[in-house]
Amino acid sequence: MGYLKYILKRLFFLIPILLLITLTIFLLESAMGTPPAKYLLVGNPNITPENVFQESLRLGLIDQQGKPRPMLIQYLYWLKALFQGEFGWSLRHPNYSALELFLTFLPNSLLMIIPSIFLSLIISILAGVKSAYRQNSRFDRISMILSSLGLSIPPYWLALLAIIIFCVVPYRLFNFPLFPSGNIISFGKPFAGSFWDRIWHLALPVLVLSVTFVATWTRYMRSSFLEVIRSDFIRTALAKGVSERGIIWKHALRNALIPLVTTVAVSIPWVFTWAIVVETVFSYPGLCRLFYESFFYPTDVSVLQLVVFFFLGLTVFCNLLADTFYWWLDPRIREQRATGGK
Amino acid sequence: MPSHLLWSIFWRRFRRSRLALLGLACLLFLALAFFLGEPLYCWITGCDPYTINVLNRYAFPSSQHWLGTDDQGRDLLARLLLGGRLSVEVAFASAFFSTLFGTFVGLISGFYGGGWDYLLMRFVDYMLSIPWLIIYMVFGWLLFRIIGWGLWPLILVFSLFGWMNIARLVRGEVLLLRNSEYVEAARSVGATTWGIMFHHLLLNSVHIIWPSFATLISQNLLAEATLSWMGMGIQEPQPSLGNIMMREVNPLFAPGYGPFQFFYPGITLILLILSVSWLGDGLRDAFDPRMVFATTSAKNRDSFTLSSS
Repeated sequence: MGYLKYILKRLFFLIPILLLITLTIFLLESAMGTPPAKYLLVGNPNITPENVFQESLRLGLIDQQGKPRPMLIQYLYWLKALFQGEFGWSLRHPNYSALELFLTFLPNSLLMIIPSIFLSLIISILAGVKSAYRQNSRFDRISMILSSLGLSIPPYWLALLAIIIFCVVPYRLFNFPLFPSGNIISFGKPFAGSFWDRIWHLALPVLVLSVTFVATWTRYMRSSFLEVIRSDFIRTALAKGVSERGIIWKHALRNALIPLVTTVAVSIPWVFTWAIVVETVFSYPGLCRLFYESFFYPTDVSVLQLVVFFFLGLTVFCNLLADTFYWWLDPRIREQRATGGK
Repeated sequence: MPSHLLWSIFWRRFRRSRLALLGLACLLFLALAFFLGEPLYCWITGCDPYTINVLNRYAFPSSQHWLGTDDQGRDLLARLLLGGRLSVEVAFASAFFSTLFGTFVGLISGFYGGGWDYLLMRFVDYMLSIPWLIIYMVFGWLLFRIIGWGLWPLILVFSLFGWMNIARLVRGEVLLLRNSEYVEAARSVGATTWGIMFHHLLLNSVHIIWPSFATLISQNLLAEATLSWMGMGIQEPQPSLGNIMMREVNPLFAPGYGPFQFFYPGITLILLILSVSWLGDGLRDAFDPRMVFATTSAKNRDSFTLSSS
């Protein structure tokens, strides 16, 4: 009951935030000089000179006399179209609606982002546990230096470096790249489109995207693990004769994972954000590259709008997810909230 | 305690971290190179960062062009140094403005509290959870479309959306401090509210402001480079660490081509960010109030040693 109430409270707070987001986007595009509702018309392949008036009327751009409606009314009509899933038509990709483009490109992005999250999680948990358990050892020092390096390397630079090392140099030497420098499947090869072909194309982007997050999460894992192994219950377990392995992997890890899981949930929007540059360098046909290219002239406002909505919605959702994880995994929080403590 | 003594204690603590010293040295070197090295280099070799020579594209390093030339035959080292200077200027200026504003907001919000404080902090929490790159991209692009490209619009965008973290941190500190005894004492001897806020509380949250300022600089460096790399920040022909790298992608597979144009700006950027963040870590440790002062002996009260509580 407590949890339901808590989530409902959070969801209630979401309503003004979502309205604020829509208002921001509406004002952003109004500031460009064209009312956003107009983008629902522009690029529509089905539109004819005869039904422009009817469509403008339906979308709330003009009233019966053909005069433009005030901004507030336009905003309400635009919001209505939004709720009905009408995001307008793309300008850069003729004959496609923004939603169609979004649904086409999203799976490609997920194909890259989900493996990258899991890979970074596995590496950072292992490295974090080891460097915390052997604190101040050589491994610890090296991994901390590497992680501060990984945090300051821009992913696009790393991606270009990876292309030079794994594509350009082998191509010059053997006339065949070790990994492909871009795209999602190869063309004109007998193995094009097969499972291993896809893995082969995914390898470099996934690795490059993981570096930043491995660096962040390793640090996080290390500090939370250090905090846990200093606590009393670990000493109790040691005194009772639990083996070292049991303490690390069972008692300590489970408690150290709680803050990590919430951090990971909160940083999922960041994975999508860095995927923008990684997908661009690897010319990977994903959502994030679509977002970046929508800024180019002619600016694809309807796609931009939809993807920004997606990013902001994802942020809100991931924060909610983090809270939920925290609630589920940590009974102390649950007790505190249930007893009305802050 | 006299303030010069405080600074000497601070310096003694700061000195203990080798990485922070390394960061400071690296930063000083880069700053010298950017602000003095660029005119010096142009004077020695007679290059300048804007002269185009298409016949001499992608040249390898020589005595005329120490790092070679870029895709339009411009001298790469001159562009690198000038670009570094512009990047540092943008990052520093925007971090300065947002720290100023963030500290102000944090002080007011923490000191007065109430409903506005609550609303403001919810807003800040929400804005902080959105990746800054997306905010900078969307709002930067919008601002550029309205008032045109340049350094100042970039600084404006970074300052407008960079103040929130500092505001939150300072607010938290002010919430802790505002009920402390010395504030009460100051009030009892007749200090005004603004005097308490901008003298006592501000000076006592310095240990939060300086490290966050360093963090903000490194974040802004990365943001500026990323935006410029995307073509949404500093525009050609003005160089920046990001936009020198941007022009790399196409000729990567061209024969007889060395990847200098991509390599050096990246290394410079990584060094800059690393040294600023090491410096920030050093500042954080040196300012940490949990490290208490302890006198070695009652006789020798002037010599302070450190002990971690």
